[in-house]
Amino acid sequence: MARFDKLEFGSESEEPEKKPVQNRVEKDEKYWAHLASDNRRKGNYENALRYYSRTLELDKNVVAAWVGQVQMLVQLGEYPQAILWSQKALEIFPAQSELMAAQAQAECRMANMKKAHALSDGALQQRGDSAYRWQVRGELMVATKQKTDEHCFDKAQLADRDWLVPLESALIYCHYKVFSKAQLKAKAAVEGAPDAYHAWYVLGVCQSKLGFDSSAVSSFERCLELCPRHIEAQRHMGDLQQSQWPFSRIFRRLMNRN
Amino acid sequence: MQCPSCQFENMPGSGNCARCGTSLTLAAATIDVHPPRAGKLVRTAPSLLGVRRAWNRFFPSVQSALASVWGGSENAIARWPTFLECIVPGLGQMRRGDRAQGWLFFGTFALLLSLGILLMGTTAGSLLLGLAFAAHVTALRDATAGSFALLGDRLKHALLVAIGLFMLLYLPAGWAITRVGTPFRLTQGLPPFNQGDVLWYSNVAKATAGDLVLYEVPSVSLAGNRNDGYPARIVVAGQRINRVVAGPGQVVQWNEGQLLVDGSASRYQPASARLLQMEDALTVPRGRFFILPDNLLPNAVAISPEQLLTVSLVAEERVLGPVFLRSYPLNHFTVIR
Repeated sequence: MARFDKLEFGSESEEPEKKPVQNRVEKDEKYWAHLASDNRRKGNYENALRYYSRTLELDKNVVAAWVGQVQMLVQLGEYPQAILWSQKALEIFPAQSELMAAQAQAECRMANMKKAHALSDGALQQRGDSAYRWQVRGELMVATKQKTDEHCFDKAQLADRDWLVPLESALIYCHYKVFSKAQLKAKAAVEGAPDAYHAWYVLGVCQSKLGFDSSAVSSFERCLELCPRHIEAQRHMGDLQQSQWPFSRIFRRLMNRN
Repeated sequence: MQCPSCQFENMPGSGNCARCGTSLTLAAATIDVHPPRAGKLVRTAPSLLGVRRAWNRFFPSVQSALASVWGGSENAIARWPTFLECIVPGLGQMRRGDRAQGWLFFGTFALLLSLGILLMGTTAGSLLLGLAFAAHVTALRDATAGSFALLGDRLKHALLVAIGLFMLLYLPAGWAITRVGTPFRLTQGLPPFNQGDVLWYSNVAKATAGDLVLYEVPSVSLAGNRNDGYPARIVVAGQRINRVVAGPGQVVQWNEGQLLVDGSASRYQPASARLLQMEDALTVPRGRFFILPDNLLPNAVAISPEQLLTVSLVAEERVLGPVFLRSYPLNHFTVIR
């Protein structure tokens, strides 16, 4: 029958429509925590702080985010606020070793050495091991001019092989103006992550403080290759490329001698 | 139910972790997760935070260092022996057992301070007082230094000790001494005093009749005649030392070659009778003193009585104070009455 000729049954040309696969990223607490860590590695502490807060908005049980907030406040130089926040976090998570270490670091930055020592001792006595506790211990040794700081930072490196550990150790040394040791740590960070522009920047700062201007210029150039809009690196480059009196360089080396 | 802090496995339904006490119902709790931030003032003036940190750093190190010297707890710092150790250089070293060093510091400081006070008002006196201060700072810094490895830290510590000692001890002591008397050095001879003499005057005590005072002569130009008859003009200005003859309200008059105050002969007569030849009695106005202008004018010039009065009647605010001591030269050390 002709009228049934054009009926289509089981046509192979017609395929069900395929819906496009949507690679949507689920912005859960892990996503924000990852973003915070990423910004931290780039030296964007303000952004990292905000992302840690976003993490906690979704899940208040993420202790690492609480610790991260305190750490970022310390990096931003807001030490009294870091102390307050760590105390609040310790009320929620009593005897949490990382939080105790974070408060110890903030107290150390405020030169409350007794309290810092007590908190650091408490943190080390807790179960487990972490790089951050040893880093804070190392900072206390640096702050009190004791000789076991290198041992503590080495222990931190052994506890965690992440390149961020030597970088933050370098930042601790920089804070206390021990640039020779900071340079060594920054070099270790750069070797661990040659594409991390923040590590190159920190290395450049250490080298410029020590008077190694040509090496510092190389480091800043590498930083700018990786991040052309790094304003601080551009500023340091500009300062280094201007002519300087040799006496200021000698005086800088003398004052940084240790 | 795993604890988020210590990963301990708790019984389902538990409110707090059995090991560390962390709340297991945190998700339902209303907690602010945004940390407090530093105010705008602190961010724009980080030195404010630096002052607090410097205080936290400096004071405990002094506390602990003095506690180790004193041999007691750090809470004993507020006791009076600790303050004594800050005031007396060398005492800290002596208590530490280093007697020789302590006596060296103390002896050096005492010698320099004594000589400086004796010669106060002279250049040498200023130098010796400065050296005494330096010796004191050195002694206190040695007692409280602790272990500073970096040159920069040692310099900062020394600067803080110097500033603290100056602000807390020397400045108040200097102020207290000026309440008693102020030294000044004569830049010209004022009989009976010579050029270079160091005199002390009190800027607190009020001058009264009979006091030898340091005062500022009102600047005035006087016309007179020399002894040979030629006219002369004298400009009178600067600081002088003379005796107050009469105070406000007292009556001064000249009678038969004698100066009378309130009707009776004054104990202090002018060196030259020609100086005051007033015809009428004069009542010293309120707020003024009548001061003999003995060493004010050259003897070879005659000035009219009216003009002399302009330099004899001195306003109270121009009188710096009564002179009570001559401390230099040392062989002419005199208490002036």
